[in-house]
Amino acid sequence: MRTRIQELRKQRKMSQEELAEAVGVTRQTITSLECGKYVASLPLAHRIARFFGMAIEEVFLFEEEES
Amino acid sequence: MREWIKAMNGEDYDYRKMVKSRVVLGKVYMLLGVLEILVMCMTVQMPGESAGDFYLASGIAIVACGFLIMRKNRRLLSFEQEMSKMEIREKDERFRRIGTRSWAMAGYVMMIGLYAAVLILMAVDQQTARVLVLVMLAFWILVLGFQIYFRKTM
Repeated sequence: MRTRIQELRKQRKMSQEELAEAVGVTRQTITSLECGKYVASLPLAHRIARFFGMAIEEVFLFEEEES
Repeated sequence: MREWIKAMNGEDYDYRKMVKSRVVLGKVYMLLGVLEILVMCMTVQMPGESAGDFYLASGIAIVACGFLIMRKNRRLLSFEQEMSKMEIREKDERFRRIGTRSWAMAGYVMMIGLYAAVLILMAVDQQTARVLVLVMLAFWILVLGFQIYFRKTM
């Protein structure tokens, strides 16, 4: 699954470590999310979207929306 | 104990209580290790030297593990920042998922390996083969038992 996490994080000039601490996960999880290797659970996706002040579907791009 | 069950169920748990329970667990391991060494020392005849060596070595290893667990978790209780970092790491969902999948894959591979071993050993050493069959049976009973439990609770 593709995400806009890296794009949104860089817009806010944040490091992966800072974002990880803000949403309560490890830096490695943020890295895996940004690479698309790991798919976040609903609670984590909600926390990340809420942190950025956006809706989940604006941060996490589902395949139907990509095409 | 409650925190351990919550952690295994993937629920949120009180990390400080978990760390405190690990300190207790470390002490229990140390006690068990000492008891094991004492039993070995008190026993006059062991069924073969290797059994005595095994009990001594495992007793020492369990005492050492218990000491390390106790020391590590006591240190966490003393340093809040370190404890919060460890809490994030242990509760990290990706970390938990990796652990769960590793256990599951290891179980599958182990079962295939055990089955292959049983097939070979039946022709060579039937007693050992029967023990392995019992181990496999116990594993499958546990899997079924946990499936029944989780179907009801989830």
